[in-house]
Amino acid sequence: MSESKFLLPDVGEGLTEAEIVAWKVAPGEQVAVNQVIVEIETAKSLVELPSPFEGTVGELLVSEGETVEVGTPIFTVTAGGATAAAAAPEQEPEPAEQVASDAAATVSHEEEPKPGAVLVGYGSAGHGTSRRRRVTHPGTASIPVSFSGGIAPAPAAPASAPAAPAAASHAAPASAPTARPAGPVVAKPPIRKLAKDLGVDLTTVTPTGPIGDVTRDDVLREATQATVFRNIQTPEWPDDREDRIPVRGVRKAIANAMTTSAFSAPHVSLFVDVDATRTMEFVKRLKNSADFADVKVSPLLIMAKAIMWAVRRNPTVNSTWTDEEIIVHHYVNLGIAAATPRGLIVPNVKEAQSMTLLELAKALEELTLTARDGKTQPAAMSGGTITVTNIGVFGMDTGTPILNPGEVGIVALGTIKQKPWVVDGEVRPRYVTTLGASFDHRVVDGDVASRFLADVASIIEEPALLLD
Amino acid sequence: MVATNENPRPANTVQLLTAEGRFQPSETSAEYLPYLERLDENDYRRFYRDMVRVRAFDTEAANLQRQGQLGLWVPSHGQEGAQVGSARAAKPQDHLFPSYREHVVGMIRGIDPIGIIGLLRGTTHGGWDPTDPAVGNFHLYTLVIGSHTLHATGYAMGMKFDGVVGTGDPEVDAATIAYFGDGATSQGDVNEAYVFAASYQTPQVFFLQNNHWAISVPVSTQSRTPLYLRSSGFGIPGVQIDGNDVLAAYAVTAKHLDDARSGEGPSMIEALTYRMGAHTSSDDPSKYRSDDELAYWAERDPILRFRVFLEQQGVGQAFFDSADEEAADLAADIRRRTLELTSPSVASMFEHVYSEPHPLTEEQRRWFEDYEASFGGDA
Amino acid sequence: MSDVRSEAEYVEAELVETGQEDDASATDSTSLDTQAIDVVEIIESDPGSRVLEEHVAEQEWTREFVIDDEAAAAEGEDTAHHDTAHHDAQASAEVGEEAAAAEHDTSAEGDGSAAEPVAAAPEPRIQSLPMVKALNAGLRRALAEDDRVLIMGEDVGPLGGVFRVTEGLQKEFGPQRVLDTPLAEAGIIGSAIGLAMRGYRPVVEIQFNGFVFPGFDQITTQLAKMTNRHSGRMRFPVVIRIPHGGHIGAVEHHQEAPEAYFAHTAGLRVVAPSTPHDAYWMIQEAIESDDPVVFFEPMSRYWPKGEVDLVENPTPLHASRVVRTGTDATVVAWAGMVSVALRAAEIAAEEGRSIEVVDLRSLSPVDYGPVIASVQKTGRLIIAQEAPGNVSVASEVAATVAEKAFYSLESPVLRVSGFDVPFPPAKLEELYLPDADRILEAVDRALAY
Repeated sequence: MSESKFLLPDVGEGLTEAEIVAWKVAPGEQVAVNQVIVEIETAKSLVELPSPFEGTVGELLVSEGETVEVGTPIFTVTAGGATAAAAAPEQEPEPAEQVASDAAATVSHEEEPKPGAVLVGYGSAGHGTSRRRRVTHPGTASIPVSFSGGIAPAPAAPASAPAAPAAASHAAPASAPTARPAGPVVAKPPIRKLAKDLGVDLTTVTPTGPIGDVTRDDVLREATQATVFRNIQTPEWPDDREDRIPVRGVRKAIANAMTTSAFSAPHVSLFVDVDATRTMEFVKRLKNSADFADVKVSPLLIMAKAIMWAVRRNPTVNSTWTDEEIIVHHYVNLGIAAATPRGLIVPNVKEAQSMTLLELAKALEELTLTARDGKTQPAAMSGGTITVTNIGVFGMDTGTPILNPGEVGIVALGTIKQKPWVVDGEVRPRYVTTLGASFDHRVVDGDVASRFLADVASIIEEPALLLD
Repeated sequence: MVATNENPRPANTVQLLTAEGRFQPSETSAEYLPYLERLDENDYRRFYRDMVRVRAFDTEAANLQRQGQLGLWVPSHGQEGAQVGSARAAKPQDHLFPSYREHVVGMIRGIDPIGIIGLLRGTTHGGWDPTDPAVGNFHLYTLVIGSHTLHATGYAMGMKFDGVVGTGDPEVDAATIAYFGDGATSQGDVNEAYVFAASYQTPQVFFLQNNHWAISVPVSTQSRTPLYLRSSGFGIPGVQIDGNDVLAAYAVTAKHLDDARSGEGPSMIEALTYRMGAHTSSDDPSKYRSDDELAYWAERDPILRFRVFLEQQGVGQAFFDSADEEAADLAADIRRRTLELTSPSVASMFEHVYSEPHPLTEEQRRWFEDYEASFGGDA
Repeated sequence: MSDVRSEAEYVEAELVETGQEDDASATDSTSLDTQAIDVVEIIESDPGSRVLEEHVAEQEWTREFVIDDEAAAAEGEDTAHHDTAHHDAQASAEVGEEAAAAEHDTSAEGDGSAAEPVAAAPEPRIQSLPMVKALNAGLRRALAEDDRVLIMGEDVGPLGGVFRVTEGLQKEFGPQRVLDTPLAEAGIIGSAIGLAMRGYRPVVEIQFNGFVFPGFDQITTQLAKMTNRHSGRMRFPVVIRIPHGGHIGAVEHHQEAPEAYFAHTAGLRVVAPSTPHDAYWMIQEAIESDDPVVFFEPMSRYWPKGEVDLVENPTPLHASRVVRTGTDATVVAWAGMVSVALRAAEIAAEEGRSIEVVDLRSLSPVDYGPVIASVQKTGRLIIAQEAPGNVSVASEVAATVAEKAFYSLESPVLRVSGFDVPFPPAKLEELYLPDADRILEAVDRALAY
C-alpha cells in the first residue's frame, strides 16, 4: 500500500502560507478524488482543497488553527481500491526541468522529487541557501577577442586579434611568451594606462597573457630595460642652409636662468665614483614589494633621499645667497631637472624632507608625468632649495651642472653600469656610477662640498645608513 | 428587436426559454425564430452535452488548481449557454477570436482542451495551432483585455478584401466573431475596434458576454447605459439577449453571422449572463458580492433550463445519464493527461521569438546551453 | 578634406572600371561599390532652408556626382518606368549596363529622358532622390510585386501622407491597397495584426513619432509576442513606419527618438536608414521580412537628396556599415545622426585626426561585427544619438562593445546623446540635439586618454 503526501499548494499566484481552518475528513475515512478534505485561509480568501488522491486517509499532519508554509505536507492518503482515479504518486513523471519563473528559482536541485509535488506553487519552500555546483567553467567563450559574428561581410577590417581564445579550462597558464603577433594590441585598459605612464610602446611588447594579451609584467619588463638614451634614426641633412629658431618661451627662460646663474655664482664642481650595487639591489626589492607596486621606483629616488640626508649633515648646501645674508633653509624643496619636449624645466617637490619613501616616490612620479604632459604650474618651479639632475638616463657618466638660480648646490646622477671594482681585494663587476655636483663658492667651500658629496655617496654605497 | 438609432431602447431582451426552461419566445425574438428551424433534435442534444462536458471540465480543472497542478484556473461556470449557442452558429470558414474564458467555444471548434490546461499550468502561452484546420479557426487566448477585438476586426477586413463576403455562396461567405466581456467594453482597443469595424463595414459579430463582473468591479461602473446600446453609437446595431438561454444565443448569433457574411457589416450581441465562479482561482468573490445575487443566477443556470426544455421535448433520463457519464470520462481523462504534462524544454524559450534567425537570440540560447551544461549534466 | 576627396576619386574610378567590364559581359554588374556612393550626399533643398546652408559648404566637392537636376526631377515623377524595368531581371542588367555606361559622361546626358519614350526604356540606374521619394519608390515597388502588401495609416491616401511619402500610391493601387484609417493608433496596429493573420503584409504609417504611444500596447504586448505565442505557426509581417528625430523645428511630440522602447522588446526588429539609398532598399527588405519591423525614418533626412542605386544593394537589412574610414577613433551613429557624425569627421580631419564612422542601420538586431572590427583598429568608441541617453540604444551598444572589445579599448566608450529632459521647444532643439561640436568634444575626451 503506497502512501501519498499532499503538500500545501500555492492557490493564489504567489501565496507563501495558509492557515488550516477546518478538516473535513478524519483519519481512516475513505476519500475520493476531488472530495473536499480541508478548508484553509490564505491572505486572499477562504479556500476548500479537494483531494488529489483516492484511498484511506492516513494522518492529518497539521492541526486546525496552525499556519504552515506552502509546500508543507498536510495530510497523507494510503492508496486503496483498484480504481484509483489519480495515478499513483510514484508514477507521476518528474517534470523535466523545474523552470520556475520567479525569484523562487533558487529551488535547490538536490531536493528529491516528492509525490504529488507542487509544480506551480512558488511560495517560500525551496529558497535554497546553496548554489548549484559548477562542473566546468564556461571558459573564455564569454570573452571573445575576435568577433566573427558579423551579419554583412565586414569591410576591409584589420585581421582579427592575435591568438585564438584559450581552451575551456583556465588551468594552464601561458607558457613561454611567443613572438609579438601581428594585429591590434590586446591589453586591458589599466595595462594600457600603465604603459602610457611608463612611456612603453605597447606595439613593441611581447605579450604573455592567456589570450595573447599584454600583461602588467610584460609592460614592466619592457620599461626597466635599457635606460641608455637611444636615438631612433639618423635624419638626412636638411635641404635648407640653416634653420632659425626664435628665442622665446621656455628656451628664453632657460637661457636667462643659466646666464644669471653661471655668471653670478662662482661654480665649483666635484666628482666621486661610487659602488652603487646595494642601491640597485634595494631598488629592485622595492619594485617587487607590494607597497611600491603602483609607483615608479628608480635609483633617482634613493639619490633624493641621500641628498636630503646629506643636507641634514651639511646644511649650508641647502641655502640661498643674497648680498646681505645667506639664508639656510631648514626644509628641502627638492628640484628635479626634467627634460620635456619644450626644454629643461626644474619643478621641485615641496617639503621633501618630511616625506616617507613611498610619498617621495609618488611625488617624483607625479612631478615627472606632469612635466612630460607640459602641465607643470609656475608655482612648482619656484622656491626650490637644492636640485638633482639625472643625466644617467641619457647615458652620460657625469657632467658639470649649472646651479638653479637661488640655490647653491646641484647634484648630478650619472649612468649606473657595471664596471670592474675592487671588493675584498678582488676585482669584481659592480654597478658603479659617478656622482657629480656643482656649488656656489660664495657659500660653499671645498671642504663642505666634499663632505656633502661624500655623504651622498655613502648612502648610494650603503642605503641602509638611511635607517638613521 | 435590434436596437437602431431610431429605436435605441427595445422593450425586451431576446429570450426563447423562460428562466424555468419553458419554450416561450419573447416579443422581440420573432425575427430569430426562423433560425431555430435549422436545428433538430440531435442538435439540441448536442448543445446539452456541450454544456455538461465543459462544466465537468471546468470543475475538474478547478480541482486540479487547488491541488497545485495548475497555477491558475479561469472558470467559465455559468456562461455555457451563451458560448455554446454562439459557437454552434458559426460555420467552419468563420474565424473566432476568444478572450480567455471561452473554453467550450474552443472545444466545439475542435481544440483539445488539454491546450487550455497547458496555458494555465505554465507550459505554453498558446495551447493550440489556429492554422490547423482541425482547430476550426479558433484563435489563441488573449490575456490583455480587449486587444484581440482589433485583431478580429483586422481579420474581418482581410476577409472583405479577399472577397469572401457577400458572394452569396454559403460555403464561401465568412465572418469573424470577437468574444469579450463587460469589463473589456471600457478599453480603448475595443472602442477602436468598433470604429474600424464600422468604418470598413467588416463582416463581424461582436459577442459580448456581460457576466456582470470585471473581477470585483460591477458592470455599473463600466457603463451607465446598457452595453448593447453603446455599439449603436458607433453605427453598429446591437441586441441584448438572455445569455443563459442557449437557444436564444444560437438563433441570434446565427442571424447576425448570416447578415455579416452577406455583407451587411458588423453587429453586436450583448449576452446577459453571470460569472458563477470567481474571476480566476486567485479571486475571492465572497468579498464583493452577495449570496442572494448568486442564488438568483443559480436559478437561471443555462444547463438546468435547457434540461427542463429537453425533458419537455421528451428526452429521457438515459440521455442525461449518458451525458453525465461522458462528462465524467472527459474530466478523468483531463486529470490523467494533466498529470502527465511535461515542462517545455529550456531551448523552447529561445524558439519562435522571431520567424527569421536573430543573432541576439541565438547568442543567448548558445550561452544558456553552455551555462546549463557547465553544471555537469544532472543538476 | 584629403581623405574624403580621395574616396570620391576612388568611386569615380570604380564606376569607370565597372562600365568597361559591362561592355564585355552583358549580365553581371555587381562590382559597383555602392558603399562608397552612400557616403556621397548631395544636399539640395528649398532656398532658405536652414539645412541647405549648413550642408552646402561641406558638400561642394560631391557635385561631380550629381546627375542633371532636371532629369532627376523628371525621373522622380515618372513612376511607370520604375516598375517595368525592375520586373525583368534581364532588363535590370541592361539598365545597369546602360546606366553604368551613362556614368562615364560627366555631363550626365545618359539619363532616361534621352532614351526611347517607350515604357521599357531603361532608366538611369543611379538616381539622385530625396529620402521621401526613395521611400515612395520602394513602397511602390513592394506594392507592385506582392498583392498582399497593404499600406495603412492616417492621411496616406489622397494626401499621400503628411510627409508625402505615400504620394500617388493610392491613385495607382486603389483604396483597398492604400487605406486611410481612422485616427486611432491602437486600432491601426491592432487591425494590421488581424490583416497579417489573414495573410496580408501591412505597412503601417504612424504619423508622428510622439503618437506611436497610443499603439504601444498593441506593438509590445501583441505584435511583438504573436510569433512566440503561436509557436511560429503564423507569421506577422507588419512594418511600422515612424518618422524619427528632430532638426525640423516641430512642436512637442513631433521630434522624438523612441527607438529604445522598441529595441528593448524581444520579437520586434528595429531599423533606421540614414540615406535615400538605404531607405529605398531597407523599406523593401522590411516588407519582405516575415517578422514585425519598426522602421524609423529620420525627418531631417527626408528632403536632402542622395544617390540611390535602383538596381543593386549589397548591404542586408540588418547590417551595419563603415561609411567613412579612419584610424584614431570610431563614431557609431544611425538615422539623422550619421550625417552629423560625418560632418564631425570632416572637421576632425582638418585638425589632423582620422575618425571612422559606422552607420549602425539596424538597432535590433545590432550588427556588432563592423563595430568591433573598427574598435579593434582605433581603440576608441563614441556613440552618438539624438535620443536621450539614459537607458538608450547607445547604452546597450556601449556595454556590449566594452564587453566584447575590452582588450582593444584605449579609452572608455563614450556616449553623445540628447539630454534626459523632455524634448525642448524647437527654439532650443539645436542646443539639445548633439551636433558636430558635441561629438568632437567626446572625440577629444577619448583621445586624451
